[in-house]
Amino acid sequence: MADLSNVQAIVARRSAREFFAVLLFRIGDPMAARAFLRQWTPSAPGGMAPEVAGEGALHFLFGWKGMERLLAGHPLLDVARGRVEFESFFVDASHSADSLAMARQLGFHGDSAPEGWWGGGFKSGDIDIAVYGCFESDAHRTGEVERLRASARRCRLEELPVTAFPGEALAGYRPPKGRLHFGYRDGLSEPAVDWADAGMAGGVNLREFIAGYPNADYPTAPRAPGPWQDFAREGSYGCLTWLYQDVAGFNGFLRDHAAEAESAAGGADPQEWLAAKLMGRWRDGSPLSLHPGGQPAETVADNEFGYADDPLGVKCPLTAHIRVVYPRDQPLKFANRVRFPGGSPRLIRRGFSYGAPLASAQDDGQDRGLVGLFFCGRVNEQFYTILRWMQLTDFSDAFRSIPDGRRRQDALLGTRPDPNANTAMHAPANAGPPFAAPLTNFIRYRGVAVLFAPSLAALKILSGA
Amino acid sequence: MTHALNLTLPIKQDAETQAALAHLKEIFAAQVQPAIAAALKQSRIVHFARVVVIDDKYIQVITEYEGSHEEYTEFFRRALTPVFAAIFALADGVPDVDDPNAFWAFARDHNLRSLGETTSGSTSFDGKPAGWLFSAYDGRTVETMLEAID
Repeated sequence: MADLSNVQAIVARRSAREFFAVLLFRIGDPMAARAFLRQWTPSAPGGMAPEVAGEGALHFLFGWKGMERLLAGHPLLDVARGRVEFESFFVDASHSADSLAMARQLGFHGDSAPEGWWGGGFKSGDIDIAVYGCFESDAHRTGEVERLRASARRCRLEELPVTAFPGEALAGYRPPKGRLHFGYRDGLSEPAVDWADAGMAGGVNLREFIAGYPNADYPTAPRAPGPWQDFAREGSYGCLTWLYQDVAGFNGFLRDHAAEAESAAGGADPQEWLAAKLMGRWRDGSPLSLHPGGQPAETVADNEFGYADDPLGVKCPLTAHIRVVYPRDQPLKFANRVRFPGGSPRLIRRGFSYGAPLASAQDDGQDRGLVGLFFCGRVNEQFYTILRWMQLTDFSDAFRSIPDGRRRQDALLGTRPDPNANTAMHAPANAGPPFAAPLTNFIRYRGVAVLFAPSLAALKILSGA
Repeated sequence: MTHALNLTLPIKQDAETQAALAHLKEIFAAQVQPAIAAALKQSRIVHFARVVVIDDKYIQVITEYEGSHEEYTEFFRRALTPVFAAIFALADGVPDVDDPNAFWAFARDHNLRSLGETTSGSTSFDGKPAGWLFSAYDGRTVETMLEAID
């Protein structure tokens, strides 16, 4: 059975805090970097432990190069062996998110191309250490970040500045009432992880999120028993993603197509209907599958729904965001059923919004969006696979039922334009023809880095404690 | 988009390996071929597949399939684990076929690029343009072809 208290708390549960920041560092001197980790990691919360009043809750993630430098010379952990045993898609720079091999298929092209990531100041592979902090207030964040920075300077950690942010670090807040910039209420769906590994009904296997317990269905790396598997145990890959949201463009899409959508929307507000068909939920969070006719008076947070009764996507379009990234009971195609015997890949989502809400109809030129951390046990089979599905919907036989179905995209988050895809919206209606409209780019990737969030025990090893 | 796999392994020349190769040849039509065919038929992502032995010195697994190498290598590993175990055992540096990481690295490192240059935009494992792969039907997918003839 997994030791949940050894899993970094950011993986195990949501933070209750309102303010967040992520500091990114490149190691100057490994010995000094270990001293930094010895100062800060002992207070990193584990498992379901609540955050301590007055203290910043800090969580630590590492790039492979960072781990390699910190562990060089370790008597048991030969880094050359670790490079082979850890997942290639974490270790191998030729298959990193910003690589030639991967970027195009994951949707990182055009406005989202890696050349412009992180403001152009550094590359994803430069990130050796990421510190994800959760704070009580803006002032609390400011003070704690300054303490961290002072300590980092002393320990010869070079901070990688994200100059698009006022404080030169990814920073943001829990959005008011959980509403993200596009107006959708977030935080309603979370995998129920079977941490006890007891076959919990409706639970997601813990191996979907942590390393160290590989089996045939969930062959997480390192696969072979030994020091590297021991080191990785109860650690999780954290895929750091900075997304810009084009709120004016999104609102403009809803506004521009409202008149065309009026008939298909029935009695619903056509702009709200369009927004719901893009996401698969009304903007209050109520799922379309349970409330296809209109947004209920009160938010329905019920997540017990599927798509078996809606094979054509009349209630919830096949291309709606939540149906692409988690198809629930919708059958995958054969090759994917073989790949995922435990069901569709899942991710644990953490993160925060940044930038002020857009207050006008026109774009105000301000930066806004979200910073996400997506945790998984296998990078290529989970994080990368879901990104691929968002770019090309050929993952399920269900798409045979709509025109050009296997070449569609996630209606909300697909990267456009894409000559390999049909980028039009397709929302079948109860009566009449499906609603169709050309989709634009509502988001842009501004930075993606695949990192590893070690267990608390492994943090001690990295810090040389 | 159709990608080509030209997996090419040098066969060890010791007596034991050569005997295993002879056994593989002997049972291929009756046992191996149906197992591969059953999995690939259901997949609807593979156009063609064959296994070639050159002078008992090299063995090739050659396929044309839809999707990126990164996306479907794990399908092939899971669907055909015993087949790949038997073939890989003929070569040096055999990976544990139960280990997706080792299997991926082995497949990546033993894929040969065709001559010429792709005209369809397909890529090699390193993301660079793949070698030439002629398609009489301009890269239409297996699904498209099956639907056209169903």
